[in-house]
Amino acid sequence: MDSVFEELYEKYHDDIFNFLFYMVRNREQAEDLVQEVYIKVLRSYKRFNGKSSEKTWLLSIARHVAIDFFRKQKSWRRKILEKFDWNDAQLCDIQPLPEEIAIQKEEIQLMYRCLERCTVDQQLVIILRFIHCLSITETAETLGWTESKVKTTQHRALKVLKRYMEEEAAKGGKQREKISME
Amino acid sequence: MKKFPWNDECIQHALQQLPMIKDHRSKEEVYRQLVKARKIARLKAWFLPSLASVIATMLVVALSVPNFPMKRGQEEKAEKADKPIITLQAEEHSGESRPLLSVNEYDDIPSRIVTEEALNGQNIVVVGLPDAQSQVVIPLSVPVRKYESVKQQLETAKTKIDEQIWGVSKRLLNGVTMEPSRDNKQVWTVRVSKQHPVFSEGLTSETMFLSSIEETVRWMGGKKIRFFTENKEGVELSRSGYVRTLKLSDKKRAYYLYQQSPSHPVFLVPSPQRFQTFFEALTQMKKDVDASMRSAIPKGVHIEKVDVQQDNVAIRFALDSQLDVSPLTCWMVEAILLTAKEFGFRSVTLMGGNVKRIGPYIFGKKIAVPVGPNPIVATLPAR
Repeated sequence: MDSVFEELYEKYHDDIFNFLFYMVRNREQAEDLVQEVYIKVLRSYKRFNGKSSEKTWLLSIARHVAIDFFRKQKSWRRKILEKFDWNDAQLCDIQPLPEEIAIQKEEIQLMYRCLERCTVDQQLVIILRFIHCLSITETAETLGWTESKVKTTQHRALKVLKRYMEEEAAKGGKQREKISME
Repeated sequence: MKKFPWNDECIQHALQQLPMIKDHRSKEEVYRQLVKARKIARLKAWFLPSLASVIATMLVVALSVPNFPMKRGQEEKAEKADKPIITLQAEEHSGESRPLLSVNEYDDIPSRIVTEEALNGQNIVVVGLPDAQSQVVIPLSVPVRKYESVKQQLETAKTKIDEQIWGVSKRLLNGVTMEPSRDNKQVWTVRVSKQHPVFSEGLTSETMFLSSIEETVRWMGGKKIRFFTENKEGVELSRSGYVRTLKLSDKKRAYYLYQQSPSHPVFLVPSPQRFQTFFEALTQMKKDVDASMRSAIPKGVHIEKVDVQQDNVAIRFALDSQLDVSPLTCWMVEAILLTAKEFGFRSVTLMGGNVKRIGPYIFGKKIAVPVGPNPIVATLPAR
């Protein structure tokens, strides 16, 4: 086994996989993408000069891989829509909640669902800042942004997340009321 | 509607409770799949260029045969040739040191700007360097590696610039380090060694030294420079006096053509003076500044109207303007784009002139302002 792979796997595999999973919300896709991250990392590992931390460097590669994936998926989506004369609302892929989330309390499940409604940039910041607990500086390094952009995006992300949670909870409440009346 | 008492702290707390999702595969399984995926990736990397070579060979053979029926694609080919062909960073698979474009190819590339599109996600830094005769400071865009610190990127960029080829002098930036502060990226620290020639030379060197640093920091987004002589704050210059900090205000300059000698390339350089309005800058760009800084807008070109629409500016050329496709008219457009950037515009729309395009720049469409001026053909060090 490649010693570089072994070392990176031990140190960062969980982080990379977790990051990719929260980005793409699908275990199989996250598994494929993690492979791509390793290919890219092993190809350029010798050039890593240690100016940034190894973790932020790896996460920045994972971020590129995820964004590439979204881009490909978007063009695939466009092709399908053109071919079948569907509209975008008809082509929605609802993923079941992953087991790890499904066993959590309702609030956490709600949070997971609402996170998907945020923009990719907002998701990136939230995942890195709160799920991976990176500092503002580390997040900026990973995303190649300025610290102020990270702060602004985080602020907006938390604001919209709160709104989405309130909307979803209200919807859920209404549905529950309906069911109990019936 | 039911109210939910969630504030930022509650949201953050809930986010932190989202569980870690783990890969269910074993390390061995991941590695096995990785080996497989790498083989496929290698095959693709080998097969596609090989296929391209075969097609290219076939094309060469086909074109060398007289009267081969290939006229159909000629128009498309001509259109492609007009597009900027600067590739700032090639694919990262060769282990050898290689030029991005060979040195004597620069005359084949009319473009003197770096566009976001050409950048293709890669990084550049802009270094301001005096020309060999210390007349003007030329901003040069140099491709750099993304994961290096800005300080290192600038150092690498300096080493990549060949003084002989580009007709610039790096002497005044040697032994000078420039980097943004950790807590405020707009404040830059510039450190000079005690033995730096600026301390023993005259006013020209001091002016060129300060202008080069200012130009570099300005392009890199800095607003303030703090000088240090090694670890001591400030620089003591014999003519300019003691300089501790330098505040960079918006300059709003116009761009001109500069060529040191016929054996050197033409560069787009900013004017020493600033202008109140974009229209005023455009008007001045029709006149030479001096014998070395030549007008960027040729005499036969007349601007009829300039219309500011928020962050876009529309420029209408008079119908009798001579807008032939030549490097000079392409550089005119590029000088206009750079000038528009100085005035805070994000795009330019060209209109009128009785043409549909000038080189790659299509009339009637918004053209984004460049990310950098004067891309230089650099040799990447071995990886």
